[in-house]
Amino acid sequence: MLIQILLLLCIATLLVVFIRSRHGVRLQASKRIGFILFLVANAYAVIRPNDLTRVAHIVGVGRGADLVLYALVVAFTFSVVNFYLRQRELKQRLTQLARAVALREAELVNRDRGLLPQALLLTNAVADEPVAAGVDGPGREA
Amino acid sequence: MSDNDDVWIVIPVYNEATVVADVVTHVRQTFPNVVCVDDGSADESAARILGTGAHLVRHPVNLGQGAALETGLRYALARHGARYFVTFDADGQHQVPDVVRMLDVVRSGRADVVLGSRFLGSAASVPWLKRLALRTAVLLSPTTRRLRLTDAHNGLRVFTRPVVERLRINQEGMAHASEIISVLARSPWQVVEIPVTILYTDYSRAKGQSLINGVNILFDISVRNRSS
Repeated sequence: MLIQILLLLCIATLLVVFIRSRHGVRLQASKRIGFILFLVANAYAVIRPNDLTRVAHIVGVGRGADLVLYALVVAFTFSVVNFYLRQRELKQRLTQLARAVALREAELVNRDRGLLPQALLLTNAVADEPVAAGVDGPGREA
Repeated sequence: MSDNDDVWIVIPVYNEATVVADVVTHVRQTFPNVVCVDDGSADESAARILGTGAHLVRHPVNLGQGAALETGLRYALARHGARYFVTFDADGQHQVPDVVRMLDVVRSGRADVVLGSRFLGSAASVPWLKRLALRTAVLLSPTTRRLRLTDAHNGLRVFTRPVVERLRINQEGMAHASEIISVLARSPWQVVEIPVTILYTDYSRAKGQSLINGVNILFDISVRNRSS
């Protein structure tokens, strides 16, 4: 069946892409295992649709396809949340970066305007703000 | 004038070119130390601020009002002799005499934080729809009720130095007001609310937060509570 081959190819591609982007930390391992299991289950469902239908009957769903749809909704929601968290974390880093730049430049500009004493070194406001610290650190990559 | 050398006024500015110079000049008649944070404005705001005696910090990109406040507070904190920090809106809706009265309260040692409230005094100047929305915001927020605050989203605040040293505003957008209050509620600091007058001009009304943005704020807050 052509569709089986196509779907299997897609899943294999996803798997390779997913494993090769290895910038996560230990926390991410469970997420990745979950994703791999999801792919394996999908592959199995494509190869043996009758088993899927049987599983669907066992869990009380009419058709196997419906079961896949439900699983998809769950996976989709999960990934949306995941991306939202990641996006927000990136935004926080952007904010910290932009703030550091802005404060640094402001010291120079306002000194030129005569509003700050000349010999002032860059103050701790810039230095003591670690760009990746604690909870906001690189823990939420996916 | 030298009485207020230890006070820093932090003004977040985003596309306020038409009014910001007047507001800053007016504030500086009482408070010499003013820092304006230009949050990536597309208009002439930065040039207008340079024309006044205020310190200018420019975000290279637009980050949001919460981020601008945080930047301004960090800048002011690094200045020698800064003891009191005031957050003030750029659109001219806040009154300098209100700031003076709020400072009297912190200077007397009765409070570490003084928040302005539109509702403690006469609420007559607040448009009724806005009043309803702000009252709802107070009711929905458990921390606001714990502190017995009457106004959850007033931009006029006075902080003492120890508070600013500990306070970190992480909400870049408009949810920072709720964030500040929830931090204060969990802190040992003495928080006092005093009545202030808000001038609702046509300009500030057009610039002010739309009510629908309250939905975004609620969303930001609820997600924050879950994830961090």
